[in-house]
Amino acid sequence: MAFLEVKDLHVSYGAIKAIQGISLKVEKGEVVTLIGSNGAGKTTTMNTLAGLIKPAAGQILFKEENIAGHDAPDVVSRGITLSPEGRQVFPKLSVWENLDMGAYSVKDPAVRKRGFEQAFSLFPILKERSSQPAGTLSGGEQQMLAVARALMSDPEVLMLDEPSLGLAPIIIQDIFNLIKKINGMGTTILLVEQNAKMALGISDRGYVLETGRIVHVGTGEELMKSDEVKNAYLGGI
Amino acid sequence: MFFQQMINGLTIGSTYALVAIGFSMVFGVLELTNFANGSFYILGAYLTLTFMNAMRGNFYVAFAISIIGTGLVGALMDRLTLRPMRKKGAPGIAAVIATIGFSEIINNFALVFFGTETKPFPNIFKVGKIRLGGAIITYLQIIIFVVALVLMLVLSLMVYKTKVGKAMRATAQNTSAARLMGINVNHIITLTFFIGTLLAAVAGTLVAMYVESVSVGLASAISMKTFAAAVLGGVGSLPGAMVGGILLGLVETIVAGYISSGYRDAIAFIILILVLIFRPAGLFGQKTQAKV
Repeated sequence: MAFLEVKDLHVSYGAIKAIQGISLKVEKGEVVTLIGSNGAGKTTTMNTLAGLIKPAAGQILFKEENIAGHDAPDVVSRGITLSPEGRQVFPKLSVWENLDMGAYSVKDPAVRKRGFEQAFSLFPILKERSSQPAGTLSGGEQQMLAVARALMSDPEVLMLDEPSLGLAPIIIQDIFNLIKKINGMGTTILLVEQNAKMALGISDRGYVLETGRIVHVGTGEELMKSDEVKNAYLGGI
Repeated sequence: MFFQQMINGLTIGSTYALVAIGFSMVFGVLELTNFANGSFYILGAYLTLTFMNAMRGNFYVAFAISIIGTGLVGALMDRLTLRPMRKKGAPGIAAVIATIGFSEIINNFALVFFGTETKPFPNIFKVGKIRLGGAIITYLQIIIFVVALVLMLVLSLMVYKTKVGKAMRATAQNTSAARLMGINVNHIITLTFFIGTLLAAVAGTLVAMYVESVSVGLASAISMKTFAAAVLGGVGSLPGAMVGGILLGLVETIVAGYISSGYRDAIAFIILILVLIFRPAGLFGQKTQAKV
């Protein structure tokens, strides 16, 4: 039994079937990437796993328990946290308050304290900016805050939806280095990326999503070498 | 004369501020224009009066039961009507209509249970007054002002300093991100309605005692005025609601004192419109940020 396993998941928005029976597995300690073009259903998959959207059918098994359809706060308290697409920091709360909200589900003050220490050591810029409203940060800083905020809940599985969206290449490199570092500290990572090359480069395994279905599965390396994936998602390198 | 008008205006304005704060809190969290506040205001006054009569004049206990009871009615309005609409993704205007409907229901029940005539309300603080430079300040005026000020202070501390207050602000700024933090958004919304409605009940009781009467007819005027006060200050801003409420009270009283009480409401709204022409976001409002 895998650590996190999605079985035949279906998600609909009214009459539109966004996800049509996808299955995937994430083992403990892995980095797994979902790639696919716009509208393939990557964000819908992530939002469904996080409990923001209720699936029409299928199972989401986390540590052998089916959490499909559970509400977001319950999913967070079980150890799966999503850093959503588009960062979505709370613009009028300070950086510190944003992190504090990230730890909303944490009861133990020692865990909370450790979370802040970890956030400030991984992202020193956030310490400098801690009293500033999050809305005044640059895009890259906001993305770092979004990741740091998600980490504050001390998750076992960290889900990152398009962490490189709209960022300068040099910052994207920083973000991917940090993802590797976070994974190295023992957090399992499920990543959604349009920047397929970089994402597959740090991934153990990857899934390719196309119009709500999984069309390729493989290790990061295999997918990078596959002609179809190369042509469709890697810009034909 | 001017000083006296200022004191009277400050008294009534601070009660508008209380209702406007409740309005603004709900608006902040749900972007909902809640038109039921005027009804909660009179309901608070009626319930205080009823429990006071039932308990042979024990104002404090009656007051406590009334404001908590009214707060629960507000929370119930959300549970019964607004939450099911949110769940189904109803457009915002549907919720606004629901608050108007709920308001009419309360007003109708109030007419049936408490009567159509204006009810006298006892002023239990008719114990004294202070003379200050030609003006008279009654103890009740001081009490109203102090209660309003303390409540505003307590609320500000709650909203800006406590965990639940931060969760309220987080929910107001981005509901789905708040859910991802583990915040139970429905609880936060219920609490926001409870507090907002409770504030209206406090204001309603204090003003009923101040003018020594209460009637159902007040409800819609109060809804409109406190809506106006919140818009004047900048909708969604707590300091804005406070200043907006107090300004509206001052303008009203000064117009009534120097021009004519007949023009009171008209002039108050003319000033509101003028302010909004020059500062569309209100005095304390920021340009609206699109919700992500």
